[in-house]
Amino acid sequence: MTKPEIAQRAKELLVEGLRLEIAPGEIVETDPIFGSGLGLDSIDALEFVVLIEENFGVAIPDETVAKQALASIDALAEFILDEQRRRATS
Amino acid sequence: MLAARFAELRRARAGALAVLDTDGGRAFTRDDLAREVDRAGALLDEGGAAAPGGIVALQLANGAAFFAIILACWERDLVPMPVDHDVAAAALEDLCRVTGASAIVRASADGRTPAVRRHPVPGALATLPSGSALLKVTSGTTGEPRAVALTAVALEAGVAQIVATMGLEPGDRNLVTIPLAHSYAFDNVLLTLVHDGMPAILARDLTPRRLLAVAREAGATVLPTVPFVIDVLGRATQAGAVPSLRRVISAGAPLPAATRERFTATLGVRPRTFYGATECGGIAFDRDGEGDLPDGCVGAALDGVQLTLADPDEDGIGRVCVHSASVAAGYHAAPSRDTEPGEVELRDGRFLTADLGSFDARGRLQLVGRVREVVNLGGRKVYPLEIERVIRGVPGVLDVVVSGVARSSVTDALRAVVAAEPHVSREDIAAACEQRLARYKVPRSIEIVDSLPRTGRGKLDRRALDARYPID
Repeated sequence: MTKPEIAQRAKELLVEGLRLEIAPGEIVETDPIFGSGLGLDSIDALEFVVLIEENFGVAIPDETVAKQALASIDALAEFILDEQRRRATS
Repeated sequence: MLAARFAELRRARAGALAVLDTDGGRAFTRDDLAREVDRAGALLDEGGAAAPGGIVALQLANGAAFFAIILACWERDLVPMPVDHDVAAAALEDLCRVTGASAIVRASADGRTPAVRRHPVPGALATLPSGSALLKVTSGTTGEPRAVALTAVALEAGVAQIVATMGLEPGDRNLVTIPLAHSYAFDNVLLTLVHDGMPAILARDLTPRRLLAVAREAGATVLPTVPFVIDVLGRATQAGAVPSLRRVISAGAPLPAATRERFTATLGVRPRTFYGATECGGIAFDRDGEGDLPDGCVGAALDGVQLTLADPDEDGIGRVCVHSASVAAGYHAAPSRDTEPGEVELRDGRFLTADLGSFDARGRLQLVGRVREVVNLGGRKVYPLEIERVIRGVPGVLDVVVSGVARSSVTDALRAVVAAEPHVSREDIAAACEQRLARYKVPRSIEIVDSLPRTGRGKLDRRALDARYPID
């Protein structure tokens, strides 16, 4: 998957998985996902961590990594791409 | 009484682990914790907390200081009143005024060490029931907080019932994911430490992989938690096993069978449903932990608890009434609402809940709804739980609440708010209901959501639900 494809899929997961009342296209890729206008809380964050792990086969080991990885859709796509590359080379 | 019990445990094994705070990475032995208690006591004394019998409100996150303040209060015959972290400052102030709390303990500016603030006590106040050792705050059935007074005798009876029924042992270690200020964690974690020496491993980071790693490293054996945590852990299939884990307890909300089974498959331990109330502590528990536990079934009465059903109807459904030594002495400084229909009653060692239930052939309690949740559809009585059970059986459904919403002055309409996986549609839910329920029991309004609004206590937030999903 390319980075734009990953970003698109992540936005869909966010909207479908957390049942947001917006279209995936409305999410600004560089905006913060949590603690922002989307009104998501820590329970949503945990749910999203699990959804990302389930759908992209990546590991999010703790809150510190989760905060960085889930900072924005752009950061998340970058994180997933890095993880997948690392997995492919190891 | 409870402070003396902990002192005894300390004398017996001073170096045994008491609290492991995984956030700061600090481990407290019983000796270390006793030192924290001395420090907390000095803080209370310097802060001029109160004369014996006085009430001390505390609003602290999970940490060694929480245990220390409670024990320091008990050493001084003060009555601690833990208040949930998400209670706003104004609401805390109200609660202190109504109950007559003379001091408030909250985290200081550094967020870690507690600080004591005196609180003015107004004149004529209701006196605490004699022997009160703790005030537990409950949101009750109406959402308005009330303080429940418990004696040390009731607290000791309550923890003994839990330990005996759940088969807990002094060598067990609790993994703590729930706020100690809530009745459930207070009993299952704080009291099992103070009374039985069970160490508490405080998890701050609930990211599934981290939580499971902490459980593994710390050798956690018992996990008293809520269905949401059971759900995310059950889905963390690549996060590794926790070989030490042997008892998982689910309370606070119904545990869907699918969530239970997924967790069992992933971690090899079957979560057991636990039913309790702030007013009386533990009530029932999935004691066998095997076979198919029907939805709504909360297991059999705890050791030392007698359950009866008040005013049963022809189907054997009545209000759950709890008799045990752990029942609270009474509400403190709260007007009695006993005369209001459907209101809970607390008196003479008996707690009449607002839950409706019946017993199955094996003597297990089956909850069918709440007293106020019998929906009247043009004269026909409908128990929402019957409908919830059908909806919960639809693959992909995680959680559901069915309630009656006034449709006109004479009749209600049924509304189902269903938390489900994305592939589940309104039509799936409607079809399942039409297939298995009388036509009038099929909800008129079906909303699919990702999760149901819950309060900080894990209880369904009915106000948020009504505001968000009006029936049209």
